[in-house]
Amino acid sequence: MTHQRDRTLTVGALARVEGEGALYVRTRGGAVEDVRLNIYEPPRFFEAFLRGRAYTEPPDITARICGICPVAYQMSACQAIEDACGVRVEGTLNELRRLLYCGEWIESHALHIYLLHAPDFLGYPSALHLARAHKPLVERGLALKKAGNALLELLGGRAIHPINVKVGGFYRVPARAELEPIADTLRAALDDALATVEWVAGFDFPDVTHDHAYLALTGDRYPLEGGTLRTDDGVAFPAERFGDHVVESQVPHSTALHATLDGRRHLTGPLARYAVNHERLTPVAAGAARAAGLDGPCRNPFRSIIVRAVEVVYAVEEALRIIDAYAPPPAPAVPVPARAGVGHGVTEAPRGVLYHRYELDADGLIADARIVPPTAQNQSAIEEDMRQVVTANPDLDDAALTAVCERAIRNHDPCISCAAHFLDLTVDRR
Amino acid sequence: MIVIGVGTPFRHDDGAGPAVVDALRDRTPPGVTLAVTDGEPARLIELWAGADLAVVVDAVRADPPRPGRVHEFHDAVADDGHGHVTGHGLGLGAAVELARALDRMPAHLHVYAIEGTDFSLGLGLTPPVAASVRRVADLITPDGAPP
Repeated sequence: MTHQRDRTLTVGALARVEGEGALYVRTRGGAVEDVRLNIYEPPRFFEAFLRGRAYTEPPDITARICGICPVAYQMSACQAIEDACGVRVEGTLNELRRLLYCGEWIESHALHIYLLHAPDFLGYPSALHLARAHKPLVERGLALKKAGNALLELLGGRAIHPINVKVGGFYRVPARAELEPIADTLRAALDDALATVEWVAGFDFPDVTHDHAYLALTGDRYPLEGGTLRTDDGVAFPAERFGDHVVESQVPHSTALHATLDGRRHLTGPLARYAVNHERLTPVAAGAARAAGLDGPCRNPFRSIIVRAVEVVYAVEEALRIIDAYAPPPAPAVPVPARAGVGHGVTEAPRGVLYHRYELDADGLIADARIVPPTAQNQSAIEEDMRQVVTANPDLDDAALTAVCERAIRNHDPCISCAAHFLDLTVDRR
Repeated sequence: MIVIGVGTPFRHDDGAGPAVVDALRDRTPPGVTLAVTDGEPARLIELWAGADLAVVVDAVRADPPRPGRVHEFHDAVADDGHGHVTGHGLGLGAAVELARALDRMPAHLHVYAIEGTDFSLGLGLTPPVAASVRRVADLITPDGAPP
């Protein structure tokens, strides 16, 4: 790289954000004593930032917490505020929200599968190396991702930090004719999505089993924009009881809060969603899952890549179904008059359950905000997975151990802004 | 031509790229597209693929630091040297390398990297970065950002 004016720099010394995530592993005599994942968590900042602001602002502001899953933040925020105001958005407007969410799932999962996770299984150090060796494969992943992007751009107004979402619905809803070209794109994407499931099912998976409690939304359909919370062992509770069951506490090694579910270590995300909801998949998605070797709940975190691929199939099919049935609603949004109250919203971000709670005063100003992202909930489970892989690989040198730990982290797709960037690993072994 | 501001205004100096794009909004000639993105490589590639000229403005840290210093790169941005991916943060260099591997580079790429000092959460640029934002915005015209 050249520097135009004074000297040569390497990009390694120029990084947008760094040093905010760290992983610490301590072993003694081959036994793992401590594994700590230090992640940085913006929601605390945003909770404070929102206090005193108008009840209409959280969808736009919280969308900026995460560049990868802005829709999730918007959907949970809208749902919580509408709950506080005693309004329920249903019918076509809710279907459009679900359609927008499908776009985010397709985009986020395709990114993770092809550019972040697959290189781990195929022995490539990065997506770049995978692209050099298998260009058509990465092109297929980008085409899938672009199909999700098209939905985000049409319904969200733009793909990054969508601006068309508001409390009560949308600023503008599409005409039917605007959705038809996207349906064509999605029909092609369905073939790519099915090919993706078949592809990732052929990877070699380490033989690992974890025992985290699984937490996901559930309902009549595979969960995206709403539902009731349920664990894989049958504990069920509504959004307004989230705070009674999922409790966050500060741990000394991290600025992020660690969450537990009724005192247990828990995991949200694709593995949990699939365990609780696999019977709610469409026949095509369910068939792809079966053909890929997924029979019921999966407890191998490395196989989460298959579940994500199956969820892409589902999201593409669901998007096509919604588009097929679409007739524009009479208004782009329903009125949501402000009132004093407390509201809760939970939706399924690509990487898991995302909870928002807002307390509003009579003028609609936010008195209190609480945001619990999936990665904060998953942090203890990720640390446990890492403890397991470090224990299973006592003889690896530091570089190899780093790679193994990074793989264990990537299994759970922690979010760039919600969680970890540029992890630095410290191994202390004697 | 597309001008892409990379970063978020909610992290102080990381908002330098979006601030440059904001400064250009009222004086963008026809045919110039403005975009803001978080730096995720596939999105960068989607934005710039097929463009005659892509101008990317990003905030960076440097060692040793000199806040507000502007680095310029033409068409040559190396991989970040890490050679591997951790989380979503692959970086601009990796985006360029990936785009090259996929034949999705713009015809010409011009990068302005503005050295920041405060990347903590919060609004507002530090004074030297704000000054550089104005300077870079003035440099970016269809004639002023030559390949």
